[in-house]
Amino acid sequence: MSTQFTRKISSLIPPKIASPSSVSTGKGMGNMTRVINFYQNLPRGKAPAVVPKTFSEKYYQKYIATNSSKPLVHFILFFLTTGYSLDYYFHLRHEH
Amino acid sequence: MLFMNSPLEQFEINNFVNNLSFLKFTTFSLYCMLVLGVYYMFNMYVFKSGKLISTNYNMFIEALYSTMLNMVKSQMGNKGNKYFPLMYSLFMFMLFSNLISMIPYNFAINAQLMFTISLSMTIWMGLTMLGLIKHKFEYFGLFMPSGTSLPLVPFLVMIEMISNIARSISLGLRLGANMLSGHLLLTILCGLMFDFIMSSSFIIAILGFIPLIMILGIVSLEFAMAAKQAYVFCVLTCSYIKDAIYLH
Amino acid sequence: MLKVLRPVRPAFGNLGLYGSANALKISGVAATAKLQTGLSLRAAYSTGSPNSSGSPKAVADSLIAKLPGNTPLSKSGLLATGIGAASYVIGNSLYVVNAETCLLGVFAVLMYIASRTVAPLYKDWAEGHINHISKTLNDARADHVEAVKTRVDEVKKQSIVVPVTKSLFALSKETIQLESEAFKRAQEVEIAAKAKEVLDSWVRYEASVRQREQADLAKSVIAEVEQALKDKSTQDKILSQAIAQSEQVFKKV
Repeated sequence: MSTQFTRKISSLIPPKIASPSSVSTGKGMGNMTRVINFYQNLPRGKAPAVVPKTFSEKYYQKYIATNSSKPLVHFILFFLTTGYSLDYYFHLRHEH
Repeated sequence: MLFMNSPLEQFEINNFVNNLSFLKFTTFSLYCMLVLGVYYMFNMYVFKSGKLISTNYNMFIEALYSTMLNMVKSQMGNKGNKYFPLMYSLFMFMLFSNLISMIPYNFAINAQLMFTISLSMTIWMGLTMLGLIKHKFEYFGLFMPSGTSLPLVPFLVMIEMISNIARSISLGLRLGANMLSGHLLLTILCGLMFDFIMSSSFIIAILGFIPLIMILGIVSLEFAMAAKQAYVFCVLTCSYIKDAIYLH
Repeated sequence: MLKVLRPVRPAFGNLGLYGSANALKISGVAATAKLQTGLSLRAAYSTGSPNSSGSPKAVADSLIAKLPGNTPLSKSGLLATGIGAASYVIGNSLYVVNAETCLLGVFAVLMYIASRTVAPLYKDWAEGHINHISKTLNDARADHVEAVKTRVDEVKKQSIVVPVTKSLFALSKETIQLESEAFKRAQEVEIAAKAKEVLDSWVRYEASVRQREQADLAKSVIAEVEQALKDKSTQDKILSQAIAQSEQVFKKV
């Protein structure tokens, strides 16, 4: 009689459908709090457009970010003029 | 008009300030600074751009970086990681100075044997000290190959020691002589071509364009040489460091 | 190779002309004039070759179109200024033409060739690599978004856990209450049945007792009557009574 009674009682307790483990573990992320913290600290919306201020920033925006071939031309022209003016200063002007 | 300059004139180091003998600012110093500036600029644009996706220019630096990293890793393993900055900056300096010297009228730093050999001697001295600090007296085991019969040991030690010391010169000499000869060759060939073109006869002037293709080939070869010599210098430095760390 | 070199050739021809002009100390204007004729001559010569594309006019037009500037006037002005500046620079030996100039020319040709051959290759390689990296990053982002979404969906199921559990508990409470009610009723029914049984047994007992009492009574009455019948006085009394009755009956008749 008593065993039947206790069994009846246990059957009356509803099945456990929620558990802390079902939130903290499972498929997908390891730790939900870590994921939430990560997303909370992320900046939201679109990244603010960087306004180039210095010369190098402007140069980067204009030529290097656009994969232009101009920087190479600038590089070569710069060294050509430097090299030629040095050559002129040290040698070429003395030849005439 | 058509007087010939010495082809060696391009390797002359000129002093900007003639009056101050204690402060020598020469074309060599200027070009060292320019190379440093180019090196800084390239790397600044790569590392300070704050972009995850690189541009075509950044890819160039990234490719060089990974080349150097692979080289250091394959030569020295994970132990060599701390020598990577040295190898990378050495390689970049060599490469940029070689490439800049390929632009006409520009001064070739690496064609100065004094510079390259003193650089290689500094490196050799540094890694000898490294080996001595790391292995103490055992470092001299480097001079004796394993499995030699006893009577041969003195000779082998002598030979190994000489070859080890010769590295200090050969490393820089290889780079310097290559660059020097390349630039000399180009200047001489161009002088020849120039003399042909400038001659009063029209036919000879046309003939002057015949070496053009050859010179084109040689210039492109020199470009390849500029990159290759920088790489070879670093590979050899790397293998010498490996010797000093691992003792064979 | 010929096609690639062709646009550069006039430049070399010009350089040669520059040099000769310089050597002969011809004034800037004369040099310009000579240069222009040289340019046209060279252009005519080079476009006359069999593997040229288009008429000389088209080539000239395309060359002119490559110059910066919008109107033909500004273009020709620019060209004239450029040629004038070059002749001035060379005439005053600010630019000295020597062997290094040849090297410069070769360098320019090489750069031109490289820009036509190596640069596209490099560009393809770099873009392929960059696309690979951006694709990897984008894929990773999409995967991550997907993972977070599935996780959110999974966790979302847990959001209704509290009301469901509450209702489940309420249900079980109700069940218990109903069960207890039923139990109570069942017990009441049982007690009623028991009471009825007891009462029925009482009724049965009482009925039997009464029956026995009646039987006893009847027996005692019969015995009394039999005893009384045995008595003489009674018999007489009855007899007399019966005679009286019968006398009365006969009287009527």
